[in-house]
Amino acid sequence: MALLEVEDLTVEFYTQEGVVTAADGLSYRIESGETFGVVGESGAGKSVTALSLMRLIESPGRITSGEIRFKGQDILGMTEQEVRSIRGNEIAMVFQDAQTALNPVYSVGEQIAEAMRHHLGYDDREAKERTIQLLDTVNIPEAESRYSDYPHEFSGGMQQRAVIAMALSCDPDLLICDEPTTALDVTIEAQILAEIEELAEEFDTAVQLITHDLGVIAEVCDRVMVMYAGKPVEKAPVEELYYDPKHPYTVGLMSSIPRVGDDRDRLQTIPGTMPDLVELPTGCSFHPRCPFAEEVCTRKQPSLIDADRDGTLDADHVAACLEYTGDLTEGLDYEVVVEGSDEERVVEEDQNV
Amino acid sequence: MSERTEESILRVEGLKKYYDTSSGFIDSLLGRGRSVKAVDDVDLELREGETLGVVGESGCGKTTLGRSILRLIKPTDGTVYYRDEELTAVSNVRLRRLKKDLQYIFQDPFASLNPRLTVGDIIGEPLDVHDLADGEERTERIGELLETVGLNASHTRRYPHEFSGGQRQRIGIARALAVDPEVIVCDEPVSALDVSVQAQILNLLEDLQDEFGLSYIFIAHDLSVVEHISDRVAVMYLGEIAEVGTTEEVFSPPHHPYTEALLSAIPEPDPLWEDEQITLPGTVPSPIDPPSGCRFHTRCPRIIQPDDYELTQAEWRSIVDLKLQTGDAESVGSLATTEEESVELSSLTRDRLDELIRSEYSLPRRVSDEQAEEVLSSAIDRLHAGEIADANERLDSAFVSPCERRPPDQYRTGDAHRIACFLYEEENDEHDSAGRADAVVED
Ligand SMILES: Nc1ncnc2c1ncn2[C@@H]1O[C@H](COP(=O)(O)OP(=O)(O)OP(=O)(O)O)[C@@H](O)[C@H]1O
Ligand code: SF4
Ligand SMILES: [Mg+2]
Repeated sequence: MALLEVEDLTVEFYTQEGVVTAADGLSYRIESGETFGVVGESGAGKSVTALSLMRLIESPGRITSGEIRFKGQDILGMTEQEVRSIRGNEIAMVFQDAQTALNPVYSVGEQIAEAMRHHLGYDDREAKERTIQLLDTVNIPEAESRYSDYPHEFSGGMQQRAVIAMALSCDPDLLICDEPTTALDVTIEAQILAEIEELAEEFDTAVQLITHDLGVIAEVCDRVMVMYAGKPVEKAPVEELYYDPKHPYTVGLMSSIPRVGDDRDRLQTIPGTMPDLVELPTGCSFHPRCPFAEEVCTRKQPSLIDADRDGTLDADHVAACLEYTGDLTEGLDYEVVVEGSDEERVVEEDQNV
Repeated sequence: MSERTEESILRVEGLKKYYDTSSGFIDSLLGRGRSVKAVDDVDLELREGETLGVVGESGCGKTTLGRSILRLIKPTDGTVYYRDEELTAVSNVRLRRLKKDLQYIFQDPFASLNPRLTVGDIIGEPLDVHDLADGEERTERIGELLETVGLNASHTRRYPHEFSGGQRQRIGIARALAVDPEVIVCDEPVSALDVSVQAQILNLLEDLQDEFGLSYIFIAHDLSVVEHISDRVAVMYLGEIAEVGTTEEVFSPPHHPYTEALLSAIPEPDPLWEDEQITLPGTVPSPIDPPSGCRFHTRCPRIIQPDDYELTQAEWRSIVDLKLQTGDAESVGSLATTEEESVELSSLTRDRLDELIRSEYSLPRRVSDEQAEEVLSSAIDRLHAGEIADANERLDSAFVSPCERRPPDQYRTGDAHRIACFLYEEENDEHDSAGRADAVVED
């Protein structure tokens, strides 16, 4: 049994413009101790997956179908009280905006200590001691004297560390990080990512890391799910995703990032933008932007299937493209170039001029 | 004052912008009123038709630099020349005319467009201000501009909220292009965009540059983006230029220790990438009270040790960290933390404290230099006695890096490559025996 199993999750938002399907038939699992990445651009539905796990989807949103099992227990079937005892305790969360996660009127230390008193029943002294230790673990300098500082006295990076300390305070089995470093400078990002990795290892915590940054995913994740317009389009072990991407969207994403030391004059682009989730294109949602789209793509919706075609039932590399059901006549045409001794990887699409 | 070369279109000399915080909200935050040295004595040059990238961490003064160059905010000191004219000295009437040539694209495509104006009026506004077109001609020009940036001419009657982030950034670009400028300062034009859209905008900016012969100052915190688009790059740290040179000179391989650290911190989109990452300790210090000497010395992995010692670089860095922290610390407890009980440090034996401090600062049981070890252990004695100030004094007088004493000049290692770091002081002598570090251009 995996630590977390999400099956066929569909989340809808009822807006004035119509029904937005923010997550559409999403399935994935996370094993204990592993780091699972969710990558995609804004509007892809990444955060919705995270909020669903904590049952934090609010009106006008609704989980319309699917199952979420955490250690075999059905999260969607629980009472509010049962969910609350899991939230922040067994499953903890770190958001992009650390500021909103911290209460401005309490000192940082007090907030973390309070969580421990509440969830773990520590007394004041134990809670304070453990809090100082945690602040030190996440590398807040002078943790002891910083304990009573208010959030505004912390820099952005320190606030994010404090939030991570708070998330870890109850020794969760699953840590969900939603764009934990997006608002931070690379130097601070590197520190925080290293910490998340180290802590996950030390406490054997599974991590679901949500980001739009393929660099971040490559650095910390074991397995990855790529999302586009509310749907997963590819799932793979991290190395396979980067060295052998199967979905044209993944290929497009990889080739559009500038990299230091690559001297292409022009970046490859994915033409157009993410579609409006109210009015998804027919067939494959990606077809209007896909350089390999054929007539069939406008009619038939691809589902995630074994992209290596080796026939294994529980394939670990799957992609949702009609290429893998044999529907395309021309096929996909791109190449992954591994350049030079320092293994530089550039994805090139031959058709996309 | 130095001669300007044929190609330089903008020239910045000794530019300073200090924000007075004596009556602002920052003041009440810090309980004091002093000036934020957001840009401190910057020399730069923008050449005709080039893209000059400006990178640095958040708060290092990039936006302030871009805005003071265009005189969108008034610099505290220094001069900016646009071609032959001193922007910092011309009359307001003249400045208004010159501003037509100098455009600015804002960091945030969501906040920078007036939500109550149609796209047509947003782009038409600069045309009106500078009396460039009206009536039929104005409408035509707006449609043309929209098409130039890849939008549809029929979009003129729509409002900003009807567009996506990438499209709004295109509108901002169209507005800047409307007056047919010479120079555009692009302040983080792609930071708020998705990667696939970011690539589209970067390509668009490059196409427009070719088509209209524009010169860009391109501000960003993302090194890969800057490396991709720039001909030359200036790296900023705490209001100063740490290094400037061609993109090649600055990045391959990196020279200044700060550039090196920034580069190594970028998460590589390659799971098999195994470069050693340089982790900078801490965050950027406050620009209100920047460190003495080289402003980067408090975090620099390559900080120079005085000739008196022969420590390993890691030992030396750690000793400086300990020194700096004893200067700030309120209690011995904040210098080291125990696993078991964090509070009772005072009851520890001398040896246990020694062990804790060395483990906290990754120092070996004895450092490799005898003389340094003596000072270090006497300082730990003082800490054990609870005398932090005394310990700090010992460390302070024995361990002083040349990097702390005075700020480095901008050493020249190539034609236009200037590095503000003492490690390049000697190379400078070879290249430029005259040693005029503040000369902007040589003929
Ligand atoms: N109006 C102001 N009053 C006081 N201080 C200011 C003001 N504007 C900026 N500062 C300060 O000046 C310094 C430089 O700010 P600036 O916005 O130029 O940095 P930046 O490099 O553009 O940062 P970012 O990458 O976050 O955009 C910062 O310390 C900032 O807090
Ligand atoms: S001058 Fe010294 S502290 Fe500054 S960057 Fe160079 S080596 Fe580092
Ligand atoms: Mg800025």
